[in-house]
Amino acid sequence: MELETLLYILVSGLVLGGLYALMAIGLSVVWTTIGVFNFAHGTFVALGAYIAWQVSSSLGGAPGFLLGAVIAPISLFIIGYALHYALIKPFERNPNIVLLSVITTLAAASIIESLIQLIWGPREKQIEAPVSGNLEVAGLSFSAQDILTFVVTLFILALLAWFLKRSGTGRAMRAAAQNREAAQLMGFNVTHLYALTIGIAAATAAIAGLFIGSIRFINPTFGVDPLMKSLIVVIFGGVAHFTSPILAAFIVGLIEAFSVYLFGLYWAPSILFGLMIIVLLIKPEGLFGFQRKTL
Amino acid sequence: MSDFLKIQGLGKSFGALRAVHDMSFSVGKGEILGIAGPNGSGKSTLFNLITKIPFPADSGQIFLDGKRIDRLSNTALTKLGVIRTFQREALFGSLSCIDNILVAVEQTSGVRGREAERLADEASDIVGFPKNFHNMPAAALPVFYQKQLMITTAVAQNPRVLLLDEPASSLIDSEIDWVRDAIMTLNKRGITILLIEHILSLLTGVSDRLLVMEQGQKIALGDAAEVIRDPVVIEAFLGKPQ
Ligand SMILES: Nc1ncnc2c1ncn2[C@@H]1O[C@H](COP(=O)(O)OP(=O)(O)OP(=O)(O)O)[C@@H](O)[C@H]1O
Ligand SMILES: [Mg+2]
Repeated sequence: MELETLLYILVSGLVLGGLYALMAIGLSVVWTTIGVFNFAHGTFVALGAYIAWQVSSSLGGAPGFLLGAVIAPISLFIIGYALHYALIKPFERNPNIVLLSVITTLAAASIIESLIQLIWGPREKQIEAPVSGNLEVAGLSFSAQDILTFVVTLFILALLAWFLKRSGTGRAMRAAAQNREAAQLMGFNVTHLYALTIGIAAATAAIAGLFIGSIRFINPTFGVDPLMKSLIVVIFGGVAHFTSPILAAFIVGLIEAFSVYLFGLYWAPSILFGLMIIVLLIKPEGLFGFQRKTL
Repeated sequence: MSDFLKIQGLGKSFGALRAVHDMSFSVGKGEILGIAGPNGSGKSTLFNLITKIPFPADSGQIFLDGKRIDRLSNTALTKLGVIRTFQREALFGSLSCIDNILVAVEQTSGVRGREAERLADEASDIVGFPKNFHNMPAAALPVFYQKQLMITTAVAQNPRVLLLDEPASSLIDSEIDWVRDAIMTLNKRGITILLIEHILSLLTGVSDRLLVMEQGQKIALGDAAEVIRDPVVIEAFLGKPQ
């Protein structure tokens, strides 16, 4: 393999990994904070992409994309926040909450999917990328949209890390995640903090949707793949630390990019699953540990 | 002494169990009121009812400095300076000590940012909680320092009335002495203190007066030395003499 080819595969793997990280981080933060797997997370990505498409296509060009990048996450934040009260809050004292929330979030996923179909129809759409052409770096040329995607993805992840670590609200979210009883005992508004968590997760999903929608076509069932990829990343990497699923996402992205090049698009998923099963056989708690539930 | 904190007919039932029943007493400004009673006599519940954390009373009235406060929200009570600690270690183990103090200050009194950090620093100085522990996870601290952290957290919320729920339980003698000194230091700063404690020497050592509870009711209130000689109190703790 030539060095140039290797570099291109590396870059496409990193761009892909960044997107997977952005999708998975919402799933992981909700899991570590509330202790449920949100199976509607994929449809959050899809709904975010459709709202962004609606906004960007009516305005057009880079300003349209920019406005979509603002409105889609805000809308999804509100939807996610409200959905906490419908999907999770009613069952919070039930010992079977993990299983019950699988059902309620799956139900929400199928309802959102039908709504998308109802509002936007079954035809495929694509969000117009705000930048076009290539960037020349040291004699190599990279797609400008790929670079933008990568930079924004990293920025959002860093922003989220900063928010959780340094802001007062983030601190309260970590506290409620770590010791719900103590948080309640001390009079924190835990329900609000949990709803915020889902809202923020949904907003990051929307940004992922915006970028995926600008490099691929979107259709109403478009959320299935992001959900699958996020689950793989979270189980593969574990959630011992905020960065665990992020690192795992980049590994998954790179594996995918290389196996597409070496074995073709057709075999890439099988290779990914094969490697994942091997990792989980050796380290059932995930690559970076699953047990310690912290953010 | 003036009635700084006045409790009137406070009550709370859990089903058929009267955890606190028709409780009335007053605490003077700057006073230390000790509270004793057998296990399950309703001491911690009394603190819950006064602070509304985590739940309010079924009946009764509470006055602070002449103003009725039992209808206020628990955050409003915190802002007024009615602050409590918890009997169980109510800490966030994976969060750093400073985050533990900050999150309580931010969530309960609504103070944020630099001001919250200033309060946390000031409280650590007052209590004597070592600042080189600030960036360690709370779970990594020995129990004694976890207790210090809980008191520091309470002090950072600017208490005028501080309710301490067994701050010295499971500590050794030298550590209990530290708790005694800390209580006296806080009291000298003008903080009115209600102290629940099973360690009688600590309780009688610092308290101006002693309140004894049994089955949710007040059975004695007065000078500590007299109260512990009261036959009714002795019976409550030791059972009826044969
Ligand atoms: N949330 C609750 N639900 C039901 N019963 C409760 C609740 N909280 C307290 N109780 C009951 O109320 C009674 C008083 O409890 P409380 O914790 O106030 O006692 P205490 O005097 O603090 O005891 P200890 O010295 O053991 O701490 C007990 O019988 C207890 O079981
Ligand atoms: Mg108690």
